[in-house]
Amino acid sequence: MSTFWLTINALFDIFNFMVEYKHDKNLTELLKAMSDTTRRALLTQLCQQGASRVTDLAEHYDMSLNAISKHIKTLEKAKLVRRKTIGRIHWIEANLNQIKVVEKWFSELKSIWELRLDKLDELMKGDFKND
Amino acid sequence: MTDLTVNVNKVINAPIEKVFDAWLDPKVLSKFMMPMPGMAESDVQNYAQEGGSFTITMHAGGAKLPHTGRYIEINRPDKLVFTWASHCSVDNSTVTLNFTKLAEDKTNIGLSHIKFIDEESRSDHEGGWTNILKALNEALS
Repeated sequence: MSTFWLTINALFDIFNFMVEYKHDKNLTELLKAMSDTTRRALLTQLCQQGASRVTDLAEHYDMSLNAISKHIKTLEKAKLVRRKTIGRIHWIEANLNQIKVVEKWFSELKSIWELRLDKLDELMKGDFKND
Repeated sequence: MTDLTVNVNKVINAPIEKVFDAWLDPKVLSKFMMPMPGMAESDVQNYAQEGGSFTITMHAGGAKLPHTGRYIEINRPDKLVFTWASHCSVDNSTVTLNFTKLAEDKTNIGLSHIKFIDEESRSDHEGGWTNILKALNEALS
């Protein structure tokens, strides 16, 4: 019985670590914001073309300015984009740091053996620098 | 008997001997044999000979996760085979590493982790639970 509880405790510790490590709540918000086709298209456009005005963004879509604004607000809430007001004009820019959170999670969807081999490669490289 | 296999290939930017030796050197092993990325270094004890055994104690938060095995084949620098058992697995498994020299400073590792799903160990495990439940039932009645 004690081995059983040890195992449960160990799994619980790993789970806690994962939650802490991966900022799970943040990731949930990010993935929700990214679950919509229009929002993904907006984000792609902002990442590739740089900061844009809301009105310019809206021109690319067969949607009302109001609908586009709503999508941008959702992206803003997830901190995937930032709004900067210069004069009367609202500029929207992508927040690449938040996108990296998602990228990092995708990069962890690997077998533990692959992650260990990645780490080994990193170690071998570091070793060469010291040589 | 059914087998479950995980295959991974990875090119390591280092000479083949160096990559091979990393798998038998406790100091290097402790740095890359972790339960998840970003976690503390493991404690490693090994007797690096065919038939020799090893223990890798990984750390996850406050928990210790021992992994043990025995070297089946050590063929420097081409091939390494060892058995692999974790603290929570009931099934036997072996890890086979094939090293291929691609260039002076480039080595491919072909890793194959095979789990042998043994009906006998499974029924032993179930037997364990049956006995626990039986004991519980007796204690309560």
